[in-house]
Parts: sequence; structure tokens; C-alpha cells
Amino acid sequence: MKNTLVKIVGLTLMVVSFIAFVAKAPAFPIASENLLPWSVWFTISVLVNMVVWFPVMKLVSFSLGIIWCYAFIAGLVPDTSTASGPVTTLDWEDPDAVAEIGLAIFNGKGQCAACHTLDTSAPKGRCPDLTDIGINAANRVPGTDAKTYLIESLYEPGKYLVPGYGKIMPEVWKNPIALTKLEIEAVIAFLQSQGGEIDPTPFIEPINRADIGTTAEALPPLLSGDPEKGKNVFIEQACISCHVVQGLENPNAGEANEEFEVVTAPELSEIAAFNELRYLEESILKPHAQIVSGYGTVKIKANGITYEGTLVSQDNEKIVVRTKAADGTEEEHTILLSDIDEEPIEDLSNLLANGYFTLTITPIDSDAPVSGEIVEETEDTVTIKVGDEMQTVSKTDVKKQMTLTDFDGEQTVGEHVSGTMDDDEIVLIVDGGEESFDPFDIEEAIIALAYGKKLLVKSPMPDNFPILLTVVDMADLLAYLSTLTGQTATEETASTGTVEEVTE
Amino acid sequence: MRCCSSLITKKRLYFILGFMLLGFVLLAVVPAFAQDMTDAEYRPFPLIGSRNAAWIAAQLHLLFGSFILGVPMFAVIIEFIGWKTKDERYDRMAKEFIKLCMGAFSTTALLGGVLVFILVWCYPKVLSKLSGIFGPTMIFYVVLFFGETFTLYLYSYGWDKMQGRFKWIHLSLGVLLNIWGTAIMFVSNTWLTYQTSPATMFGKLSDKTKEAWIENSLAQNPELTRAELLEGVTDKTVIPLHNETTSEFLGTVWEAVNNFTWMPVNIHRLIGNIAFGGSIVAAYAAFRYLVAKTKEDKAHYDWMGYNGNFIALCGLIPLPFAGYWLGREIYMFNNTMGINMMGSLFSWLFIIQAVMIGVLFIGANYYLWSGMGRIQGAEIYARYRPYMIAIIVICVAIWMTPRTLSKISSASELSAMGGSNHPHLGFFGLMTAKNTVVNIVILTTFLSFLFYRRSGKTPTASWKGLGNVIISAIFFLGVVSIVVIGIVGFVVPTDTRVNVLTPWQVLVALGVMVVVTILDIFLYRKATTSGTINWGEMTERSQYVLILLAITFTSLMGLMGYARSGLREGWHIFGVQKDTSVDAFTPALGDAVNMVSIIMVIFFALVGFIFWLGLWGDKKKQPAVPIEAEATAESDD
Amino acid sequence: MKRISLFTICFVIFIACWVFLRFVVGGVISVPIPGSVISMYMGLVLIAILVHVSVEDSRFKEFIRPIHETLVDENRRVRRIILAVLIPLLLLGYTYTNIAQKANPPGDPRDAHPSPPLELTYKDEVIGSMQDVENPHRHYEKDDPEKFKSHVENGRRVYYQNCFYCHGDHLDGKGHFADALNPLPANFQDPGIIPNFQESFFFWRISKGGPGLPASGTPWNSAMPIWEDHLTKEEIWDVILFLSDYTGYPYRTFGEGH
Repeated sequence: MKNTLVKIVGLTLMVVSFIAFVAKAPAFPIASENLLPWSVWFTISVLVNMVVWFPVMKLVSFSLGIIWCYAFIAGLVPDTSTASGPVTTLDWEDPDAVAEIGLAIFNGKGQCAACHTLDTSAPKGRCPDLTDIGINAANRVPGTDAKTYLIESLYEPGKYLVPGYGKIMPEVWKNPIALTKLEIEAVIAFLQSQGGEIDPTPFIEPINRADIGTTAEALPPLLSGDPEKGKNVFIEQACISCHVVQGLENPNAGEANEEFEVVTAPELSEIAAFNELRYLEESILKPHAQIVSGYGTVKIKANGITYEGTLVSQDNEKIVVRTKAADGTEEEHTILLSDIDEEPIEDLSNLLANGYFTLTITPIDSDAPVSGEIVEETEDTVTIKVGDEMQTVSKTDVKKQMTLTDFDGEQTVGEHVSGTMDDDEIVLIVDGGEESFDPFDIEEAIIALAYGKKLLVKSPMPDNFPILLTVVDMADLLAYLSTLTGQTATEETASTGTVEEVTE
Repeated sequence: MRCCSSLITKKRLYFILGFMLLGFVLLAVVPAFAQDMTDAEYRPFPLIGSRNAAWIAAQLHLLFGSFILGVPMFAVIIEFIGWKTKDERYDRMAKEFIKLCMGAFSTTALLGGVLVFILVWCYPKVLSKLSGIFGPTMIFYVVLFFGETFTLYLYSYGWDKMQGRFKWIHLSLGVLLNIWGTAIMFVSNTWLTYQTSPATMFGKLSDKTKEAWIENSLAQNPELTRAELLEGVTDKTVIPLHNETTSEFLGTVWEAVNNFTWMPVNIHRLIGNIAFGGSIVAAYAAFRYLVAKTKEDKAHYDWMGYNGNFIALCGLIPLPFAGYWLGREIYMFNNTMGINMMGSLFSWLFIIQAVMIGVLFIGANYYLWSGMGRIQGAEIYARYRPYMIAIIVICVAIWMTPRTLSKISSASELSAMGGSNHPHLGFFGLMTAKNTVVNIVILTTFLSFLFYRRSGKTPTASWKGLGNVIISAIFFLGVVSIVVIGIVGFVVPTDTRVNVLTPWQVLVALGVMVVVTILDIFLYRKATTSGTINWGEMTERSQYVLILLAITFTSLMGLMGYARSGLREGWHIFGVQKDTSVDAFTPALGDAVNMVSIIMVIFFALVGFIFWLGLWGDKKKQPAVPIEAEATAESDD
Repeated sequence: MKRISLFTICFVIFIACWVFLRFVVGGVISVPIPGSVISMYMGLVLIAILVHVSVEDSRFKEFIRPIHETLVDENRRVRRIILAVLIPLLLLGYTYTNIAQKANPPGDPRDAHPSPPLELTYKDEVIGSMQDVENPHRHYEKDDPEKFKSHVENGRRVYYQNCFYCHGDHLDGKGHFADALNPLPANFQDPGIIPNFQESFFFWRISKGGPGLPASGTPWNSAMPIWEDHLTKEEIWDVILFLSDYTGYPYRTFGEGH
């Protein structure tokens, strides 16, 4: 008797869950899609039937199980059907049919289901769950009835946001989704059918269809940005605070800017006349790559004094740095390159890129350090000019130097043998003999692989523009910069085809 | 089971004939409808919609049709073997096959009628367009159908009458039956292949059609001169058979018949029918084995299942090659359609296909290995099995690996891979890798079969040691050259790969199989038999595997039917007649396979019913047949 | 010493395969494999193990024995209790992972290889069918190598003036803008890109850009510009020549067939 019951329940459950799975019925009432979907019920029932029934029924269960397996596997691949034809009429005599069309658009062309869910037990989606939206719509904004709210949500989604959700929904009537009015009507009918009554009264679109945007606007081609918009980017991103463009007024002129320091930057009125687009792009994305002479900032130490300021000029013997004191007075310093202090170098990679121009280094097989101008650098070696000779030194096989500074400020330099500040003693070879130091007497101990003079020029321009600017902004900005030739826009001299297009 | 002369009772004969008559009435009435109702473009089918109705009817018709065309092919061969070897078992088995065929025949006709009815009712405009082009072939089809019907009846009912002296007449009837059947399939294939590829090559056109095409093209492009138009045209150029603006048909009936994909589909289906028929017969045998009560029954159905599976394997091995040819022709016909098939719209379907074919090969090997359990002396080959499993599974894994993973990965996984292709596994997604592993799987399956054949036998030939070394060397060299060709395939132009390398891979695989078979036959010619095959001592699991194979074959046919039809996308006739109905979209893969599953359930319910009829006939003579069998039909209904 | 049961061996092999795929292939040898692909492979491993143990009756019994013992044998009480605790815990974990909110957006449902239209057009001018159109400058490769070279050079110029921002100096899809784009710019150095498509396909993708993608290419966020607005037909054909010349990959052709 008990066995018969199991058999019947197993068989019924198998048939029911198979049909429910194939028909994509909603999850079993007592559980959610996540825990016990129909596939689980089906698998369990097939296994039960395979145990309890006689051979023929086992075979039937087995066969059904295999058939189901393939449907299940195929269902795992997220695939979408190609869109059905456009909606041409809506039959308001049958509101349920309209709601059904709305559901198809909800899942299909409208791409609503990508973010909105229709199941309260489902994991929280990127956008609000729309179960019972038909009722809830009336309660969201006081004084707005359900239909008005829904119309507003679809045409102007940014106007009211459900707390806790971001402003991410696109205007679905615009490209690229571009729902027609009929399609939006159907979607609204569908949303109202979720717990509410479908209201077939016609409405007037609160938008101007002419603003739908070209397909290109929805995603502008990279380099045919709009110079007008680019001008706005130029102003909004505060480029204008530092860069001067003839004929363009800085709206914030004279105001102190707390976010960054206003510095003197190259005038850009004729930038496109002399530079390629490639250079402009690089200057925005990698401001330090090329610096217009006279506009870089430096920080150097010479004869023990630190100078920090704008690099005014530079030649083979000296540099001129303009510093600005706290009270605002400016002063120019002329510094001989030979006066720049050597700094200990703890990492020998990318010497040139880090601004080093001389190097003092002790190869492992030599006692005396060699010193000279850096000529060439590879990953493992560096070539320096010692007197008139070129000498190539390995970066890995070097003697470590240690500089000890005691509390009196006196320095001892020597080859490092053993010990650090944490040990009981530090042993160095100074002038050929080993000497021992007590760390208690030492204020600072710096290990250096080599010493070098450093002059690194950086651009004062912030390097976060790749993050601040979207690709669209970037295209617009470049388009705008491309118009800055110092001449009227139509007399184009720039070299690339795209720039010509932009300026027309 | 005894041979029964009064297999067909009068009652059942009427029953079957009644069904047939219904089918023919529908066939006859339908054209009249068609002429009358061409004003409507589409009419909705109640409840499930036109497309689903046509889909179900067409797929079921096709499955049954496949079965009744496939089974007689090997039935005749088996009958011939029985005649030559004087082994009565073969004759009896062939007869049992045809008996199954008879049951399915009326169902096929009935389903065909239903399909035509649905097409006429729901898609009158499509049908009138097609019948406008193919009118003569449809008459020809009816004639063939009558030929098929009467030959089948003669063949089946005359079986016992034509034993002995007249056996050759009976065999000739069997051959004739197959000629009818193949011709029927070829004719009906023309209609549906034409829908996919309504074009043919310039070299195949008649002078009149050439002229019509040239005139039309010149009318459309007035700036062209005739010489300019013909400048780039060779005999291989694809020429549409329609005026591109008015869709007016320009060619002859033969040109429409001999369209681009006709022959590949014919060959693909011909081989597929054998494999499918074999697997359904094996499933029938497995079903009978599982419910059999006596030892004799078990032995008989075990043997029958083995033969069915063997036939299915014979069909399965060349099937990928035929499919490859078909795919290539589709690319040749229309590149867009090819990319749609392999690269975009249907690319995931081919991953599911790989899953199914993987199951087929693993299952077929499993059955062979299980079969070695009932042969004494087969144990010595068991030690190779783990390696063979590993090879097959690794090959299937490579075959199943998708090229683009963006649909089944999360954003973080994609960024970890640095794009939608995995930098290393992505190579498995390319066609050359897939072709390579398919050939290796086929060779491994062949090796399983070789072991099965050798089980329990000891060769006495003097050169047996050398022979085995040679055979191993051939296998080794074959696999190595297939892999090398596969690797070379990554770096050569696609054109070379498709036209030179892949055919070479196939030739190497086929060559290895042919040479090894010949060597093996000579090697084992006078072998001593140390162990007999204990028919009827198979595990139940192996019988379930036979059923798994049949279901997988059927599902695969359903799936590929969807692909073949879906390739047209929004067209009834590709590029000629646009589908403007509500169903003019391609369903998602999951939905399509759901539909295929529903069709599978209906198909197996019907097949179960026919099997049950088979049992019903036996029961009168054999009370020992289990009663549970009736439950099948009940639950299946 | 007690023999290790077949079941344990299989279990260990299964876990080892997973570790191999997840950490060795997906860490030491290469970059991580997506979970879905690993599950697919593990499914096959499971099938392989089941096939191996169930082909022979004797081995199948040996495999089943520990399972059977665990379920009914008196001496295996402890195991039963462990299982009774473990199974609900696993279910709990499964439920948790299913219901817990994931901050991981799903992958991209767009088709990687969108299907081209039947006709190749430039602006509104029909060039021919996608199938038959050939690069009009391709024949110089044989007829007039000097001229061919000049076309490739022109293509190089076009590329470095327009394309390399995204597709990179080395055509590997790693241009300055690449990091900001999704989908990523095409990597022409990938052996699966150039050899799989005809030149006409490239012409279509270049001239129509992201906005020209078909419905199956959605969500439609490719940043590829509509280059027919900026480049002449000749320039597009030249840049196509350059892509193949630089990477060394030939385009797909359909030869004479048969």
C-alpha cells in the first residue's frame, strides 16, 4: 500500500514537473526558484521512479529523464530569440493581450528584464523588483497616480528614483532601445497588470520624438566628437583654469580653486595647428610623457638645499627653477647641474625614466666606485661616461654602499658588510679597512646600490583624466581641441582625415 | 520466438489500411484546398500557433520517415546474409525489423497528411509558391509513394511465401523497396533544401536560364555591359534562381531540384537514416530484453540489440564527415548563413550538438565494452579501457569547449581571462581542433570494436606478432598525423584548411580503419576460438545505454532539424519569400530544445505504442510474455 | 594495511581533476577558466569515472559496496551521522550561494561573430553581395607588387592615423583606449580573427562600425565608429590589406571549391 503510494506520487510528480519545466511554469509554491526549481523535483522523481517501479516504468522514467537532460543543458545557455516584428496595433478590447505584448517587449526589445525582476524571492536586481508594480506605482510619489507614475518612469526615468537605486535606467524611447509609443503603451499595460488594473486611456507623450537622437548619438563614433560639447568638457573639467584659449572666457576666473593649484600652463589657442591629434590625446591621457619646455615642475636638492618649483629653462650646465615662497613671492634660482646633490639609489631599474643623469656605482670586482653621466641603460646594465671613456656596468653585480649618519650629522660611507639598525653592530669597509659601528650611535643608515644625480621634470597637470573623462567626453574634447588652429575653423591644415571631418 | 505466418490478423490489417487511407485522403484533398485559399497569407493554428503545429508535425513525420527508410536498407542486407550463410536467425531478425517498419509506415503517412494539412491551412502562400515551382515533382512523389507502399506490403506479407526457391525475388523486392524509399526522400528533400538555398551554380544552369539570369541582371544594373557582367562569373558562381526584385522564378524544375544543398542533405540523411534506424531497432531489442522472462528471449534480443547497435555505429562513423560536407556547402552557398550557423546565431547549438555526439560515442563504446563481459577471454583487453575512456573524454571535452565564453562567464571571469576567449583553451574552440578530436574519437571507437571482434579468439597465423606490431604502428602513425595536420591547421589559410587539410584528416582516419580491418581479417582468418559469446548475459545498464543512444539520436535529429530550418531566419524561401507572420523570429536555444523535448515525448509515446502492438501480436502465441508491457502504452499515452 | 576502496580512489581522482583544472591550468599554466566551463569538464570527468566503474559487474559491486555499507551497516554509524550533518550543511551552503546577492554582473550576451548582411554597402552605394565581393586591390599582390606595396603603405598610414588608438601599435587590441572599452577592441593577432572572415566581412565591420551591428550583436555598446563617414572606400580596402600584411594571417577565401 505504502509502496503503491510512493509509486503514484513519484509518477505524478515526474509528469507534472516535466510539463512544468518545459512550459517554464513558475517555481513550486512552497519554494523559490533558487532552492527547489522544477528541475530538482523532476530529478528526484525520476530517481524515485527508477527505484520503485517495475522495468517498463523504469524505462519510461529513464527515457523521460534523458529527454529532459538535453532540454536542461540547452536551457543553461543564455540565448535570446531574435526580436519579433514591430507592434503595429494594440487591441484595447482585450487588455490582457496587450499586456502579453508588453511582457514580450519587457523581456525582449525593451531589455527591461536585464535589470528588473518580477519575483520578490529572486536575488535583488540592479533595479527595483516590479512585482505588484500595478498597485505600488500609485504609492511611490504622493499626488501622482499609477499611470502617470509609470509614464514618467519610462519617459523620464531619472526624475524619481526608488530609494536605494542608482540613476542607471536609460530613456527607453531614445536610441538604442527606441521603443515606439505603442510599445511603451503595451509595456505600461503589462506593468499595470502586475497586481493592478489595466487603464486603457490614451496619453500624450511627455517628450518630443524629434529628440530621439541619431543612432550615432547613442554611441558616438570615437573621433567624430562634437566640438561644441568638447568646449563644455574643456570648461567643466577645469582645463580652462590653467590653459588659455583666445576667445574663451574662464567662468571662474579670479576665484580661488580649492581642489587644485592653478598654474601657468601652455596656451592652447593654436594647439592643433602644430600638433597631431595623436599628441593631444597622449597629452591628456599621459601628461608627463611630453612636457612643453618651461611648464614642467621639478624638485631637486643642490648643496643641501631643496628647490621645488617650475622649470624655467635648462641646458647642459645649469637649470633655472622658479620657486614660489609661502607669501607668494617668486624667485628664480640658477643651479649648476654639478651642484646637484647625489642621492642614494635603492632601486636600479628605470634610472633614466626616474630622472637620474649621473651615476656613482661600485662594480663587485672593483674597489673604487666609478662615476659619470648615464649614457645608455638596458634592463640589466647601464653605460656611463667616465671621463672620455664609456663603461658598461652590470646592475646586479654591484657592491652595496651604506651611508651612516650619526647624531652629530657626520656621515660615514662604506661598503656594507653586515648588520642593520636592528642588529647589534654594523660592519662597513671604510678606506680598505673594516670598521664596526654601534647602531645606538647612528641616527640613520641608508643602504644604496649606487648614487646618482636626479632631475625629474613632471607636468603639473593631474593624471587622472583617463578616469574623469568618458570615451565620449574624450572624443568631444579632442574634436574641440582640433578646432583650435588659431585660424577660422574652415581653413583646415591638420593632417588626418578624421580631423577634417570634425572641423567641417 | 517462433516465426509466425499469420502475423497480421485481419483486424489489424484493416486498422493499418484505415490509417493509410486517411493519410491518402488528406493528401488528395489538400491540393484542392490550396487552390481555393491562396488569398490568405497566413491563418493561425488554434492554441499552439502555426509554427509550433507545423514544427511538431514535420519533425514527427521526419522521424518516422527516417525510420521506415533506414530499416529496410539494413533489413535487406541482413536478409541477404541470412540467405548466403543459411543462418535462419538473420532471416528472422530481418523479418522482425520489417514488422516494426510496417507499424511505423502508416503512422508516417498519417503524419505526412497532417503536415500537409497544417501547411495548407496555416501557410497557403508558401505552399502555393512551392507548388508553383515543384508541381511536377509532387506528382512524381505520389507515384513513388504508391510504389513504396505496395512494394513494402508485398515484401512484408510475401516473406514466408517466397522462402527457398523464390528468395531472390524477395530480395529483389527488398532492393526495389529501398530504391523507392531513397527516391521518395530525395524528392521531398528538394522542397526543403530549396527553401534554404534557392540557388545553384552557374555551370549547372541550362542555356535558357543563363540567358534569363543575364537579362535580369542587366535590367537591374543598366550601367553594366554583358561582358562586364560575365567577367567574374565562373562555372562555380552561385546564381539565384529568382529575379532579385520580383521574386519571379527563372529556372527549370530540375535546376530547382538540383539546388545547392540538395545532394549534401540527401547523403547526410541517407547515412543518418541508417544510424537512426539501427539505434531505434537496438532500443526495441533493449526494451524486449529488459522485459523478457525466458533465457532464449534474452539471448535473441541481446543479439538483436548488438546488431542494431552495430548498424547504428556503421552509420554514426561516416556521419560527421557528411555533416562537414553539408556545412561547407552552406558556407559556399552563402557566407552569412555559414557564419550564422557556426559563429553567431546557432553557434551554441553546435555546443549542444557536441554534447549529444559525445554521449553517442561514449555510449556506443560503453556498450561494446559491456559486451566484452559476456565473452570469455576478453579480459585481456580490459587493461586498455581506462586509457581509451580518458582519450574519448578528453577529445569530447575539447570538442565541447566553446570559442567565445562571454555568454557563460561573469564579468569578473571575463576580465580574469582578458577577453571573451580563454588565451589557451580558446584554441580548442577553433574548427581545426574540433575536427582533429572527432577523428581521434572515431578511431578510438573503431579500436573498441576491433577489441570486441578479437575477444575470445587467438590468431594462428604465423605472422601474428608482426601483424600486431604493424597494426599498432598504423594506429600510432594515423593518430600522430591527424594531430599534426590539426596543428598545422591553426596556421594555414582557412581555404587550405577546409579544402586540403580536413579532407586529408578524414582520409587518414578512413585509411587507418580500412587497412587495419583488412589486416585484421587476414590475421584472424583461422583463429582458434577460446571463448564463446554468452548471448543474453548482458548487464541491464548496457541495455539502458542502448535506449540512451536511441533517445540521443532522436534528440540530435530534432535539434539539427531546428538548425536546418532556423538557418533561413526570417524567410520562407531564403532571399525570395519573406516570412511576415507573427512567428517570424528565431526562438532562443532553450525554447527550441524544449520544443524538441515535447516532440521527443510524443515520438517515443507513439513508438512505444507501436512496440506494444508488436508485443500484442506475439502474445497470442506466447503467453509467457510479461504483462507489465501493457503499462508502457498506458503511461506513455 | 587496509586497502583503499575503489570509491575513495574515484573520489580522490575527481577532486584531483578539479584542483588541476581550477588551480593548475587556471593558475599555474594559464589564466582562470570560467566556472561554467569547469563544471562542464567536471561533468565529463564524472561520466568517465562512472563509465569506468560500471562497465564490469564485479567492479561496479566493489564501487557500490562502501556506499551500501555506509547506508546500512551497523559499524558505519559514525559515517552516517557525519553524512546526516554534512548534507543539510551543504544544502544550506548551496541555498546561501544561490540567494546571496552577488556583486558580479553577468557576462555579455552579445554574439561575438555577428552575422553580416547579405549585401555589402558603402554609405548607400551597393558594392555587391557579401559573398562575392573581393578586395579590388588584392590582385596587385600578383600583378604589380610595387603598387601592392604602395596600397599596403597607404593602409598603414590609415591605420596609424585612425585605428591604433584602440587596436594598438601592434594590432593586438591594446591601444590607449582599449582599457576603457567593452567589448574590447579586436585583436588582429589572434589566429581566430583574420583567417575566419572574408575581406568583405572586414569591410562591413569597418564601414558600419558599432552602430551597424545586427540585433544579435546587442547590447549594443561597441565603440567602433562608422568609418564610412570618414574614410574613402579605397582607404578601407587598403587598411584591410595592411591588417593581413602586418599580422601575416591571410583572410578567409572560398577558393574554387568542390
